[in-house]
Amino acid sequence: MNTKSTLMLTALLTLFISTSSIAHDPSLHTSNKEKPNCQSMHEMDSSEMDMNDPVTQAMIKQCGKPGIKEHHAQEDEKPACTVEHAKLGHCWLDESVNQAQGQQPKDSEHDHD
Amino acid sequence: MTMIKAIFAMVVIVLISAAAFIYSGLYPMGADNQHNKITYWALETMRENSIARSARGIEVPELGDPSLLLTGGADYNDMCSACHLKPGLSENDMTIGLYPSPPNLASMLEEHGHQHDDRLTKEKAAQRNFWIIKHGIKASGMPAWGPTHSDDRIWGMVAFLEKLPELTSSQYQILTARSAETSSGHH
Repeated sequence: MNTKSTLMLTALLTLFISTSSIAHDPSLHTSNKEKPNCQSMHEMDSSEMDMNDPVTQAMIKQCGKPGIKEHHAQEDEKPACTVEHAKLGHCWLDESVNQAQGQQPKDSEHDHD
Repeated sequence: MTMIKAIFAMVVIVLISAAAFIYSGLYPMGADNQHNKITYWALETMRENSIARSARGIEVPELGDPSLLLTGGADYNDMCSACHLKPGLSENDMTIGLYPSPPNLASMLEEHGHQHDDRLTKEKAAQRNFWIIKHGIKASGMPAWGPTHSDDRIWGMVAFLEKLPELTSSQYQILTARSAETSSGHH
């Protein structure tokens, strides 16, 4: 009985300690799901930015270098549809291209709207 | 002998009076009822000297690492900005309602909300901020983050605080958004 109580107490203590140690893990901060608004940085004039400033360096870490837009960021700046992209269902190839490559577009299993 | 008896009687009377005052409930405890100037001065002086004494000797690491700014920025936004504000805000319900009012850490030192004895050097300011974040301040609403946060994460917040008064709203938004790096928990 004594051993059982000791074991239970130890288990409870371990559970308490492990729970409190992960309680403030950054991944548990779910309230701040906001993504960095990199648009404002991409619009900045990179020649006016001090690349040695830790703030600038941190912003580049979050958003990439100013002037370089994110992949697929703009609908009107989509990259050309390649066979690899089409296979992944990211886009549709033109009929002519399909015929030239002997492929037919299939119903995509994961549409990207 | 009579003198000693008189002093003893006075001490007893003072102690009994103090106890009577404590138990009477006469002291106004509301946060909307401010201290008089003497009490405020005494408490603030005691606080500042105590922090300066305790923070002395804390070794300040290199705070120029951009990764520190990102972890510290995200933590500041989650844990501190509700009381200590962010660029573009000068007050909110917390700063108006809390007493003493939490300083606006997003503003320059001149408009910071309360006076320090002198301009702190960068190192002293970092030591002071680290100590306050880690240990908190009694009866002020400032919690001690030390028991639940590593020193590395606290230094991240200290690094972010150094830059905060110079940040624009856009810079603040970018630096404080939790990226994959800042939410993965590796420090």
